[in-house]
Amino acid sequence: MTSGRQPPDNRLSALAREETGPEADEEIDLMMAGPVETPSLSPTAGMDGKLQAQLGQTLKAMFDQVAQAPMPEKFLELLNKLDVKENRE
Amino acid sequence: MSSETVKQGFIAAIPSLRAFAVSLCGNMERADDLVQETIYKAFKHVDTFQEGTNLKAWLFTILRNTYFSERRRMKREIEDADGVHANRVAVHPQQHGHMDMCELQDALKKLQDDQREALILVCAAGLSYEEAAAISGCAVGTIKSRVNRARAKLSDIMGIKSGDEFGPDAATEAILADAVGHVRQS
Repeated sequence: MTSGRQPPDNRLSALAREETGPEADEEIDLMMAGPVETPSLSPTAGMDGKLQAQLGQTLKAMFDQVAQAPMPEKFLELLNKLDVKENRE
Repeated sequence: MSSETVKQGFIAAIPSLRAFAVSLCGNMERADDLVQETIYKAFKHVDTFQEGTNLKAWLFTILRNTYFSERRRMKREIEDADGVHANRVAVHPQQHGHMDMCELQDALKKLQDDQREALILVCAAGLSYEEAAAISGCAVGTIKSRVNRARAKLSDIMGIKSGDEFGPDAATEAILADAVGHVRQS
C-alpha cells in the first residue's frame, strides 16, 4: 500500500510551502453532515520541517503497527460466506 | 468484475482498513467491527463500484461514512459521545525512536474528527490529497488546510515546537518554564 509514494521528506517540504486559507474549510464544513466545531486558527506555516517529518514518521509507524498485524481469520470467513451467498443468488 | 477479483481486492485492503478504523475510533475491537460492517456493505453494493477506480479509496469511504453516521446517531442517543474514544488502542505501545507513540495517540484523540481524519489519510495511510478529498467528500484545499491545522494542534497539545526537542520530560519543562519566567520578569 505504500508503493508509489514519494519519500516523506519531499512531500512534507512540498506541503510546508503550501498554505491554504480558512475559507475552504468553512465552505466544506457546511457540506459535512456532522456537527463541526470552529477550527482553531493556529499558524502552521512556521512549523519546523524536521518536526513535520518526525510527526509523519510516527503517524506512519502507528498506522503500520495495525496494518502489519496478522489479519484475523474472521475477515476471511466473512468474505467466504458473502462469496458463497453471492454465487447462489 | 468477478467476485474473486472483488474478494482479492477486499483482502488486500483489509490491513489498511483496520489501521484507518483504529485511528478513527481508537479501539481495536470496535475497529474490527467497523471493518466487518464495511466489507458487508461493500459486498452488498459492489455493483455501484466503478471498475477501474480505486477500490481501497472506495472502501475507506464506506468505512468512514459508517463510522461518522454511527457516531452522530450515538451523539443523539447519549450525550457522552466521547465514550467511543475512552478505550485505548489495544496494540502494544512501542517506543518510537523520536516521538512518543502513546503521547501522540492521546493527542490525536483531542483533534477534531475532520482534522484527525485528514491527517491520518494523508500522513499515515499514504493517500494523496486527491484521494483523501474524495474519501472525505470535500475539496483538495480543505484537506490540505485540515492537515495543516491538525499538525499545528498536535504540536500545541504535545508542547513540541521544534523537531529538535522531542517529548521534553517534566524536568526539562520545569527548567524551561523557569527560564521563561525569569526572562519575563527582567
